[in-house]
Amino acid sequence: MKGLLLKDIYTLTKQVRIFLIMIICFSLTPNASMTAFAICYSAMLPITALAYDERSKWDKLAMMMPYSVKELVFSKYLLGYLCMLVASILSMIGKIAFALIRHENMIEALIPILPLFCVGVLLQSLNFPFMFRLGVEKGRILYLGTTVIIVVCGLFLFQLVEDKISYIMEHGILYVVIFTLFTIISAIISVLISIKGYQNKE
Amino acid sequence: MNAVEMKNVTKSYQDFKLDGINLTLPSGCIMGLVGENGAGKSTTIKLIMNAIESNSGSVTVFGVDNKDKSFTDLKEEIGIVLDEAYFPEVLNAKQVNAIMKNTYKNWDEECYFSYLNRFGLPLKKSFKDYSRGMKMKLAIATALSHNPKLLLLDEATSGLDPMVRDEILDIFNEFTRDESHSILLSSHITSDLEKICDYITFLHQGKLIFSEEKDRLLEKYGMLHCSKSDFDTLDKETILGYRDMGYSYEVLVKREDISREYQIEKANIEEIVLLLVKGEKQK
Repeated sequence: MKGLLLKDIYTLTKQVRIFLIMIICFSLTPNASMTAFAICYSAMLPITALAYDERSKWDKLAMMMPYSVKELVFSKYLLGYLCMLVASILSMIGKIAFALIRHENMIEALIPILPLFCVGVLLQSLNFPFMFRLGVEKGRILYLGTTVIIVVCGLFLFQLVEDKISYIMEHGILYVVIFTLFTIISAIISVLISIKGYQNKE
Repeated sequence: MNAVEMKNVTKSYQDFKLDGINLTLPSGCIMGLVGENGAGKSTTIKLIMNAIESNSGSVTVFGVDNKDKSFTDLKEEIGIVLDEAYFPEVLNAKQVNAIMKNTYKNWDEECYFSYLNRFGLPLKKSFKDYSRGMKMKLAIATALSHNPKLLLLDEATSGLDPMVRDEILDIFNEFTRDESHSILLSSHITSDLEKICDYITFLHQGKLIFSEEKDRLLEKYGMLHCSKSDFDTLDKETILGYRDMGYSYEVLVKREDISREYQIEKANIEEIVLLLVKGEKQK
Protein backbone atom coordinates (compact mmCIF):
# COMPACT_ATOMS: atom_id res chain seq x y z
CA MET A 1 0.00 0.00 0.00
CA LYS A 2 2.99 2.26 0.56
CA GLY A 3 3.56 2.29 -3.20
CA LEU A 4 -0.02 3.49 -3.82
CA LEU A 5 0.31 6.27 -1.24
CA LEU A 6 3.64 7.31 -2.66
CA LYS A 7 2.16 7.49 -6.16
CA ASP A 8 -0.69 9.70 -4.92
CA ILE A 9 1.67 11.97 -2.99
CA TYR A 10 3.91 12.41 -6.06
CA THR A 11 0.88 13.15 -8.22
CA LEU A 12 -0.74 15.58 -5.81
CA THR A 13 2.43 17.51 -5.00
CA LYS A 14 2.97 18.09 -8.73
CA GLN A 15 -0.63 18.69 -9.84
CA VAL A 16 -2.22 20.62 -7.00
CA ARG A 17 0.73 22.39 -5.43
CA ILE A 18 -1.16 25.70 -5.03
CA PHE A 19 -4.07 23.87 -3.45
CA LEU A 20 -1.70 22.25 -0.95
CA ILE A 21 -0.14 25.62 -0.09
CA MET A 22 -3.65 26.99 0.49
CA ILE A 23 -4.43 24.11 2.85
CA ILE A 24 -1.22 24.80 4.81
CA CYS A 25 -2.05 28.52 5.05
CA PHE A 26 -5.64 27.85 6.14
CA SER A 27 -4.42 25.33 8.71
CA LEU A 28 -1.97 27.76 10.26
CA THR A 29 -4.59 30.52 10.49
CA PRO A 30 -5.95 30.47 14.07
CA ASN A 31 -9.60 30.60 13.13
CA ALA A 32 -12.08 27.72 13.40
CA SER A 33 -13.66 28.32 9.99
CA MET A 34 -10.22 28.34 8.35
CA THR A 35 -9.44 25.05 10.09
CA ALA A 36 -12.75 23.72 8.76
CA PHE A 37 -11.77 24.78 5.23
CA ALA A 38 -8.34 23.19 5.57
CA ILE A 39 -9.68 19.85 6.86
CA CYS A 40 -12.56 19.68 4.35
CA TYR A 41 -10.21 20.51 1.45
CA SER A 42 -7.84 17.81 2.72
CA ALA A 43 -10.73 15.33 2.71
CA MET A 44 -11.22 16.15 -1.01
CA LEU A 45 -7.60 15.49 -2.00
CA PRO A 46 -8.04 11.71 -2.46
CA ILE A 47 -10.86 12.44 -4.94
CA THR A 48 -8.46 14.55 -6.95
CA ALA A 49 -5.97 11.65 -6.81
CA LEU A 50 -8.71 9.26 -7.92
CA ALA A 51 -9.56 11.57 -10.84
CA TYR A 52 -5.91 11.55 -11.96
CA ASP A 53 -5.86 7.75 -11.67
CA GLU A 54 -8.88 7.53 -13.94
CA ARG A 55 -7.40 9.99 -16.41
CA SER A 56 -4.14 8.11 -16.74
CA LYS A 57 -5.95 4.73 -16.45
CA TRP A 58 -3.66 3.86 -13.54
CA ASP A 59 -6.68 2.21 -11.86
CA LYS A 60 -6.74 -0.40 -14.64
CA LEU A 61 -3.02 -1.09 -14.28
CA ALA A 62 -3.21 -1.23 -10.48
CA MET A 63 -5.88 -3.94 -10.70
CA MET A 64 -3.23 -6.12 -12.35
CA MET A 65 -0.56 -5.42 -9.74
CA PRO A 66 -0.18 -7.38 -6.52
CA TYR A 67 -2.78 -5.26 -4.74
CA SER A 68 -6.11 -6.50 -3.47
CA VAL A 69 -9.26 -4.43 -4.08
CA LYS A 70 -9.29 -3.75 -0.33
CA GLU A 71 -5.82 -2.20 -0.51
CA LEU A 72 -6.67 -0.15 -3.60
CA VAL A 73 -9.77 1.28 -1.92
CA PHE A 74 -8.36 1.70 1.58
CA SER A 75 -5.24 3.47 0.33
CA LYS A 76 -7.44 6.37 -0.80
CA TYR A 77 -9.20 6.55 2.57
CA LEU A 78 -5.82 6.43 4.28
CA LEU A 79 -4.54 9.22 2.05
CA GLY A 80 -7.51 11.34 3.13
CA TYR A 81 -6.95 10.59 6.80
CA LEU A 82 -3.25 11.44 6.49
CA CYS A 83 -3.99 14.73 4.72
CA MET A 84 -6.58 15.64 7.34
CA LEU A 85 -4.19 14.65 10.11
CA VAL A 86 -1.47 16.90 8.69
CA ALA A 87 -3.99 19.78 8.37
CA SER A 88 -5.14 19.15 11.97
CA ILE A 89 -1.58 19.09 13.33
CA LEU A 90 -0.76 22.31 11.48
CA SER A 91 -3.95 23.85 12.90
CA MET A 92 -2.91 22.79 16.39
CA ILE A 93 0.52 24.36 15.90
CA GLY A 94 -1.10 27.56 14.61
CA LYS A 95 -3.57 27.72 17.46
CA ILE A 96 -0.98 26.95 20.16
CA ALA A 97 1.37 29.59 18.80
CA PHE A 98 -1.42 32.16 18.62
CA ALA A 99 -2.67 31.30 22.14
CA LEU A 100 0.87 31.64 23.51
CA ILE A 101 1.36 35.03 21.88
CA ARG A 102 -2.01 36.37 23.03
CA HIS A 103 -1.95 34.56 26.42
CA GLU A 104 -5.27 32.87 25.64
CA ASN A 105 -6.67 29.54 26.81
CA MET A 106 -4.97 26.92 24.68
CA ILE A 107 -7.46 24.11 25.37
CA GLU A 108 -10.42 26.18 24.20
CA ALA A 109 -8.64 26.94 20.97
CA LEU A 110 -7.87 23.26 20.37
CA ILE A 111 -11.34 21.87 21.15
CA PRO A 112 -12.92 22.42 17.68
CA ILE A 113 -10.20 20.43 15.89
CA LEU A 114 -11.53 16.95 16.78
CA PRO A 115 -15.14 17.62 15.71
CA LEU A 116 -13.85 19.25 12.52
CA PHE A 117 -11.64 16.25 11.85
CA CYS A 118 -14.75 14.08 12.32
CA VAL A 119 -16.68 16.25 9.84
CA GLY A 120 -13.87 15.73 7.32
CA VAL A 121 -13.97 11.97 7.87
CA LEU A 122 -17.77 11.97 7.50
CA LEU A 123 -17.50 13.98 4.31
CA GLN A 124 -15.06 11.44 2.95
CA SER A 125 -17.22 8.52 4.15
CA LEU A 126 -20.21 9.93 2.31
CA ASN A 127 -18.30 10.82 -0.80
CA PHE A 128 -16.15 7.80 -1.52
CA PRO A 129 -18.71 5.04 -2.12
CA PHE A 130 -20.10 7.11 -5.02
CA MET A 131 -16.65 7.78 -6.43
CA PHE A 132 -15.55 4.16 -6.29
CA ARG A 133 -18.76 2.78 -7.75
CA LEU A 134 -19.49 5.37 -10.45
CA GLY A 135 -16.14 7.03 -11.11
CA VAL A 136 -15.23 10.58 -10.16
CA GLU A 137 -17.28 12.42 -12.79
CA LYS A 138 -20.62 10.75 -12.14
CA GLY A 139 -19.80 10.26 -8.45
CA ARG A 140 -19.35 14.00 -7.91
CA ILE A 141 -22.81 14.81 -9.29
CA LEU A 142 -24.49 12.21 -7.12
CA TYR A 143 -22.46 13.32 -4.11
CA LEU A 144 -23.57 16.94 -4.55
CA GLY A 145 -27.19 15.82 -4.75
CA THR A 146 -26.85 13.72 -1.61
CA THR A 147 -25.10 16.57 0.24
CA VAL A 148 -27.97 18.97 -0.54
CA ILE A 149 -30.49 16.42 0.82
CA ILE A 150 -28.42 15.89 3.98
CA VAL A 151 -27.97 19.64 4.60
CA VAL A 152 -31.73 20.25 4.19
CA CYS A 153 -32.52 17.35 6.55
CA GLY A 154 -29.84 18.61 8.99
CA LEU A 155 -31.35 22.12 9.07
CA PHE A 156 -34.80 20.63 9.64
CA LEU A 157 -33.40 18.50 12.49
CA PHE A 158 -31.61 21.53 13.94
CA GLN A 159 -34.89 23.46 14.07
CA LEU A 160 -36.46 20.56 15.97
CA VAL A 161 -33.73 20.52 18.65
CA GLU A 162 -33.01 24.27 18.70
CA ASP A 163 -34.45 24.77 22.19
CA LYS A 164 -32.26 21.96 23.54
CA ILE A 165 -28.98 23.51 22.32
CA SER A 166 -28.00 24.81 25.76
CA TYR A 167 -28.42 21.28 27.18
CA ILE A 168 -26.25 19.87 24.38
CA MET A 169 -23.58 22.51 25.03
CA GLU A 170 -23.49 21.63 28.73
CA HIS A 171 -22.81 17.98 27.92
CA GLY A 172 -20.28 18.87 25.23
CA ILE A 173 -17.76 16.10 25.94
CA LEU A 174 -20.43 13.39 25.83
CA TYR A 175 -21.62 14.64 22.44
CA VAL A 176 -18.08 14.82 21.10
CA VAL A 177 -17.58 11.16 22.13
CA ILE A 178 -20.89 10.13 20.51
CA PHE A 179 -20.05 12.10 17.37
CA THR A 180 -16.57 10.53 17.22
CA LEU A 181 -18.01 7.00 17.58
CA PHE A 182 -20.61 7.76 14.92
CA THR A 183 -17.80 8.98 12.64
CA ILE A 184 -15.75 5.80 13.16
CA ILE A 185 -18.74 3.52 12.50
CA SER A 186 -19.67 5.55 9.37
CA ALA A 187 -16.08 5.29 8.12
CA ILE A 188 -16.05 1.49 8.54
CA ILE A 189 -19.41 1.14 6.73
CA SER A 190 -18.22 3.49 3.99
CA VAL A 191 -15.00 1.49 3.41
CA LEU A 192 -17.01 -1.74 3.16
CA ILE A 193 -19.49 -0.21 0.68
CA SER A 194 -16.64 1.26 -1.39
CA ILE A 195 -14.85 -2.11 -1.57
CA LYS A 196 -18.06 -3.80 -2.72
CA GLY A 197 -18.70 -1.02 -5.24
CA TYR A 198 -15.19 -1.14 -6.66
CA GLN A 199 -15.36 -4.93 -6.98
CA ASN A 200 -18.52 -4.61 -9.06
CA LYS A 201 -17.21 -1.77 -11.20
CA GLU A 202 -16.01 -2.74 -14.67
CA MET B 1 3.28 -26.92 -15.49
CA ASN B 2 1.21 -24.63 -17.67
CA ALA B 3 1.72 -20.92 -17.25
CA VAL B 4 -1.90 -20.12 -18.14
CA GLU B 5 -4.95 -22.33 -18.54
CA MET B 6 -8.38 -21.03 -19.45
CA LYS B 7 -11.26 -23.46 -19.46
CA ASN B 8 -14.63 -22.55 -20.99
CA VAL B 9 -14.29 -18.94 -19.90
CA THR B 10 -17.24 -16.77 -20.82
CA LYS B 11 -17.70 -13.07 -20.21
CA SER B 12 -20.80 -11.22 -21.35
CA TYR B 13 -21.30 -7.52 -21.78
CA GLN B 14 -24.36 -5.80 -23.17
CA ASP B 15 -22.99 -5.69 -26.70
CA PHE B 16 -20.19 -8.26 -26.60
CA LYS B 17 -19.62 -11.80 -25.47
CA LEU B 18 -16.36 -13.65 -25.07
CA ASP B 19 -17.62 -17.13 -25.54
CA GLY B 20 -16.25 -20.34 -24.03
CA ILE B 21 -12.54 -19.62 -24.33
CA ASN B 22 -10.16 -22.55 -23.90
CA LEU B 23 -6.46 -21.94 -24.14
CA THR B 24 -3.30 -23.35 -22.65
CA LEU B 25 0.05 -21.60 -22.54
CA PRO B 26 2.77 -24.06 -21.49
CA SER B 27 5.64 -22.72 -19.39
CA GLY B 28 8.62 -21.58 -21.40
CA CYS B 29 6.55 -20.67 -24.47
CA ILE B 30 5.38 -17.52 -26.21
CA MET B 31 1.76 -17.34 -27.28
CA GLY B 32 0.46 -14.72 -29.69
CA LEU B 33 -3.11 -13.58 -29.32
CA VAL B 34 -4.43 -12.27 -32.60
CA GLY B 35 -7.77 -10.85 -33.65
CA GLU B 36 -9.48 -7.73 -34.95
CA ASN B 37 -10.27 -4.72 -32.74
CA GLY B 38 -12.95 -5.77 -30.28
CA ALA B 39 -12.28 -9.49 -30.79
CA GLY B 40 -11.77 -9.95 -27.06
CA LYS B 41 -7.97 -9.89 -26.69
CA SER B 42 -7.85 -7.29 -23.92
CA THR B 43 -10.84 -8.89 -22.20
CA THR B 44 -8.95 -12.21 -22.23
CA ILE B 45 -5.93 -10.60 -20.57
CA LYS B 46 -8.14 -8.86 -17.97
CA LEU B 47 -9.84 -12.18 -17.25
CA ILE B 48 -6.49 -13.91 -16.75
CA MET B 49 -5.50 -11.22 -14.25
CA ASN B 50 -8.93 -11.38 -12.58
CA ALA B 51 -9.31 -7.65 -13.20
CA ILE B 52 -12.83 -8.45 -14.39
CA GLU B 53 -15.04 -11.29 -13.27
CA SER B 54 -15.96 -14.06 -15.69
CA ASN B 55 -19.53 -15.34 -15.98
CA SER B 56 -18.37 -18.93 -16.15
CA GLY B 57 -15.29 -21.10 -16.57
CA SER B 58 -11.97 -21.13 -14.77
CA VAL B 59 -8.55 -19.56 -15.17
CA THR B 60 -5.39 -20.86 -13.55
CA VAL B 61 -1.96 -19.25 -13.64
CA PHE B 62 0.94 -21.53 -12.69
CA GLY B 63 -1.70 -23.89 -11.29
CA VAL B 64 -3.30 -21.28 -9.03
CA ASP B 65 -6.96 -20.42 -9.57
CA ASN B 66 -7.07 -16.69 -10.24
CA LYS B 67 -10.10 -16.32 -7.96
CA ASP B 68 -8.07 -17.72 -5.06
CA LYS B 69 -6.81 -15.23 -2.47
CA SER B 70 -3.23 -16.35 -3.07
CA PHE B 71 -3.49 -15.07 -6.65
CA THR B 72 -2.82 -11.52 -5.40
CA ASP B 73 0.62 -12.69 -4.25
CA LEU B 74 1.15 -14.61 -7.50
CA LYS B 75 0.82 -11.32 -9.38
CA GLU B 76 4.39 -10.71 -8.21
CA GLU B 77 5.37 -13.28 -10.84
CA ILE B 78 3.42 -11.60 -13.63
CA GLY B 79 4.74 -8.66 -15.59
CA ILE B 80 2.05 -6.67 -17.35
CA VAL B 81 2.23 -4.21 -20.23
CA LEU B 82 -1.03 -2.77 -21.48
CA ASP B 83 -1.65 -0.92 -24.75
CA GLU B 84 -0.52 2.30 -23.07
CA ALA B 85 1.76 2.78 -20.10
CA TYR B 86 -0.99 3.98 -17.72
CA PHE B 87 1.32 5.81 -15.32
CA PRO B 88 0.18 9.25 -14.09
CA GLU B 89 1.71 11.69 -16.53
CA VAL B 90 3.45 13.84 -13.92
CA LEU B 91 5.64 10.98 -12.72
CA ASN B 92 9.18 10.45 -13.91
CA ALA B 93 11.16 7.21 -14.23
CA LYS B 94 12.87 7.72 -10.88
CA GLN B 95 9.53 8.09 -9.09
CA VAL B 96 8.18 5.02 -10.89
CA ASN B 97 11.12 3.13 -9.37
CA ALA B 98 10.21 4.36 -5.85
CA ILE B 99 6.56 3.35 -6.35
CA MET B 100 7.36 -0.09 -7.76
CA LYS B 101 9.94 -0.72 -5.05
CA ASN B 102 7.07 -0.40 -2.60
CA THR B 103 4.70 -2.45 -4.75
CA TYR B 104 6.67 -5.55 -5.78
CA LYS B 105 8.58 -7.55 -3.17
CA ASN B 106 10.92 -8.81 -5.91
CA TRP B 107 11.60 -5.38 -7.37
CA ASP B 108 15.12 -5.28 -8.78
CA GLU B 109 16.24 -1.67 -8.83
CA GLU B 110 19.52 -2.46 -10.55
CA CYS B 111 17.74 -4.33 -13.33
CA TYR B 112 15.26 -1.42 -13.77
CA PHE B 113 17.97 1.21 -14.08
CA SER B 114 19.96 -0.99 -16.47
CA TYR B 115 16.88 -1.22 -18.72
CA LEU B 116 16.40 2.55 -18.52
CA ASN B 117 20.01 2.96 -19.52
CA ARG B 118 19.70 0.44 -22.33
CA PHE B 119 16.55 2.16 -23.64
CA GLY B 120 18.06 5.62 -23.22
CA LEU B 121 15.21 6.80 -21.00
CA PRO B 122 15.79 9.97 -18.96
CA LEU B 123 15.40 9.64 -15.21
CA LYS B 124 13.85 12.98 -14.36
CA LYS B 125 11.81 13.80 -17.43
CA SER B 126 8.06 13.79 -16.81
CA PHE B 127 6.22 10.91 -18.33
CA LYS B 128 3.95 13.31 -20.26
CA ASP B 129 6.96 14.49 -22.27
CA TYR B 130 7.84 10.96 -23.39
CA SER B 131 7.15 9.77 -26.94
CA ARG B 132 4.89 6.73 -27.32
CA GLY B 133 7.94 4.54 -27.90
CA MET B 134 9.57 5.83 -24.71
CA LYS B 135 6.37 5.27 -22.72
CA MET B 136 6.10 1.69 -23.89
CA LYS B 137 9.79 1.10 -23.15
CA LEU B 138 9.27 2.39 -19.61
CA ALA B 139 6.27 0.09 -19.20
CA ILE B 140 8.31 -2.86 -20.48
CA ALA B 141 11.27 -1.99 -18.23
CA THR B 142 8.85 -1.90 -15.27
CA ALA B 143 7.26 -5.21 -16.22
CA LEU B 144 10.63 -6.91 -16.52
CA SER B 145 12.19 -5.54 -13.34
CA HIS B 146 10.41 -7.60 -10.72
CA ASN B 147 11.67 -10.96 -11.97
CA PRO B 148 8.39 -12.11 -13.51
CA LYS B 149 7.92 -15.63 -14.84
CA LEU B 150 5.03 -14.63 -17.06
CA LEU B 151 4.67 -11.56 -19.22
CA LEU B 152 1.23 -10.46 -20.37
CA LEU B 153 1.47 -7.92 -23.15
CA ASP B 154 -1.60 -6.26 -24.56
CA GLU B 155 -0.79 -4.53 -27.84
CA ALA B 156 2.55 -3.56 -26.34
CA THR B 157 4.19 -3.09 -29.73
CA SER B 158 1.36 -1.39 -31.63
CA GLY B 159 2.02 2.16 -32.77
CA LEU B 160 5.78 1.72 -32.47
CA ASP B 161 8.18 2.11 -35.36
CA PRO B 162 9.81 -1.07 -36.76
CA MET B 163 13.19 -0.30 -35.13
CA VAL B 164 11.73 -0.02 -31.63
CA ARG B 165 9.49 -3.03 -32.25
CA ASP B 166 12.42 -5.13 -33.29
CA GLU B 167 14.39 -4.03 -30.23
CA ILE B 168 11.47 -4.95 -27.98
CA LEU B 169 10.96 -8.32 -29.67
CA ASP B 170 14.64 -9.07 -29.03
CA ILE B 171 14.07 -8.39 -25.34
CA PHE B 172 11.11 -10.76 -25.30
CA ASN B 173 13.24 -13.41 -26.96
CA GLU B 174 15.93 -12.85 -24.34
CA PHE B 175 13.31 -13.19 -21.61
CA THR B 176 12.18 -16.62 -22.82
CA ARG B 177 15.71 -18.00 -22.91
CA ASP B 178 14.96 -19.00 -19.34
CA GLU B 179 12.75 -22.06 -19.73
CA SER B 180 10.51 -21.13 -16.84
CA HIS B 181 9.55 -17.83 -18.51
CA SER B 182 6.44 -17.48 -20.66
CA ILE B 183 4.80 -14.69 -22.64
CA LEU B 184 1.24 -14.07 -23.76
CA LEU B 185 1.35 -11.31 -26.32
CA SER B 186 -1.66 -9.78 -28.06
CA SER B 187 -1.02 -7.88 -31.25
CA HIS B 188 -2.46 -6.85 -34.59
CA ILE B 189 0.97 -7.14 -36.11
CA THR B 190 0.97 -10.76 -37.18
CA SER B 191 4.51 -10.54 -38.58
CA ASP B 192 5.75 -9.82 -35.04
CA LEU B 193 3.85 -12.79 -33.70
CA GLU B 194 5.16 -15.03 -36.47
CA LYS B 195 8.69 -13.97 -35.61
CA ILE B 196 8.65 -14.89 -31.94
CA CYS B 197 5.64 -17.03 -31.01
CA ASP B 198 5.47 -20.76 -30.38
CA TYR B 199 1.67 -20.74 -30.20
CA ILE B 200 -0.95 -18.67 -31.96
CA THR B 201 -4.43 -18.09 -30.61
CA PHE B 202 -6.96 -16.48 -32.89
CA LEU B 203 -10.03 -14.74 -31.55
CA HIS B 204 -12.79 -13.48 -33.80
CA GLN B 205 -15.88 -11.65 -32.54
CA GLY B 206 -15.41 -13.10 -29.06
CA LYS B 207 -14.99 -16.68 -30.24
CA LEU B 208 -11.86 -18.77 -30.27
CA ILE B 209 -11.16 -19.83 -33.83
CA PHE B 210 -7.98 -21.74 -33.02
CA SER B 211 -5.23 -22.00 -30.44
CA GLU B 212 -2.39 -24.06 -31.85
CA GLU B 213 1.35 -24.43 -32.12
CA LYS B 214 2.59 -22.06 -34.78
CA ASP B 215 4.62 -24.69 -36.64
CA ARG B 216 1.68 -27.09 -36.72
CA LEU B 217 -0.53 -24.26 -37.97
CA LEU B 218 1.87 -23.46 -40.78
CA GLU B 219 2.06 -27.16 -41.67
CA LYS B 220 -1.70 -27.55 -41.54
CA TYR B 221 -2.70 -24.63 -43.76
CA GLY B 222 -1.42 -23.72 -47.18
CA MET B 223 -2.09 -21.32 -50.02
CA LEU B 224 -3.22 -22.66 -53.35
CA HIS B 225 -2.69 -20.34 -56.30
CA CYS B 226 -4.93 -21.46 -59.14
CA SER B 227 -6.81 -20.37 -62.22
CA LYS B 228 -10.54 -19.72 -62.23
CA SER B 229 -11.20 -23.07 -63.95
CA ASP B 230 -9.19 -24.94 -61.29
CA PHE B 231 -10.95 -22.96 -58.59
CA ASP B 232 -14.35 -24.00 -60.00
CA THR B 233 -13.39 -27.67 -59.87
CA LEU B 234 -12.31 -27.49 -56.21
CA ASP B 235 -14.56 -29.12 -53.64
CA LYS B 236 -16.13 -26.09 -51.94
CA GLU B 237 -15.82 -27.78 -48.57
CA THR B 238 -12.03 -27.62 -48.85
CA ILE B 239 -11.99 -23.85 -49.49
CA LEU B 240 -11.46 -22.10 -46.16
CA GLY B 241 -11.24 -18.66 -47.73
CA TYR B 242 -10.08 -17.12 -50.99
CA ARG B 243 -8.98 -13.96 -52.72
CA ASP B 244 -10.15 -13.27 -56.25
CA MET B 245 -7.11 -11.75 -57.99
CA GLY B 246 -8.86 -11.22 -61.32
CA TYR B 247 -7.10 -13.83 -63.49
CA SER B 248 -6.27 -16.17 -60.63
CA TYR B 249 -7.34 -17.17 -57.16
CA GLU B 250 -5.49 -17.43 -53.85
CA VAL B 251 -7.17 -20.09 -51.79
CA LEU B 252 -6.54 -21.00 -48.17
CA VAL B 253 -6.82 -24.76 -47.72
CA LYS B 254 -5.89 -27.48 -45.31
CA ARG B 255 -3.02 -29.36 -46.94
CA GLU B 256 -4.55 -32.73 -46.02
CA ASP B 257 -7.76 -31.90 -47.88
CA ILE B 258 -6.10 -31.19 -51.23
CA SER B 259 -4.79 -33.63 -53.78
CA ARG B 260 -1.00 -33.75 -54.19
CA GLU B 261 -1.28 -32.74 -57.83
CA TYR B 262 -1.82 -29.15 -56.70
CA GLN B 263 1.19 -27.15 -55.65
CA ILE B 264 0.47 -25.68 -52.26
CA GLU B 265 2.60 -22.87 -50.93
CA LYS B 266 3.29 -21.86 -47.39
CA ALA B 267 0.67 -19.57 -45.84
CA ASN B 268 1.73 -17.00 -43.31
CA ILE B 269 -0.21 -16.24 -40.12
CA GLU B 270 -1.72 -13.08 -41.59
CA GLU B 271 -3.07 -14.99 -44.61
CA ILE B 272 -4.46 -17.76 -42.41
CA VAL B 273 -6.19 -15.34 -40.07
CA LEU B 274 -7.53 -13.02 -42.78
CA LEU B 275 -8.76 -15.74 -45.09
CA LEU B 276 -10.38 -17.75 -42.31
CA VAL B 277 -12.45 -14.68 -41.39
CA LYS B 278 -13.09 -13.84 -45.05
CA GLY B 279 -14.06 -17.47 -45.67
CA GLU B 280 -16.72 -17.25 -42.97
CA LYS B 281 -18.30 -14.37 -44.88
CA GLN B 282 -17.82 -16.02 -48.30
CA LYS B 283 -19.80 -19.04 -47.10
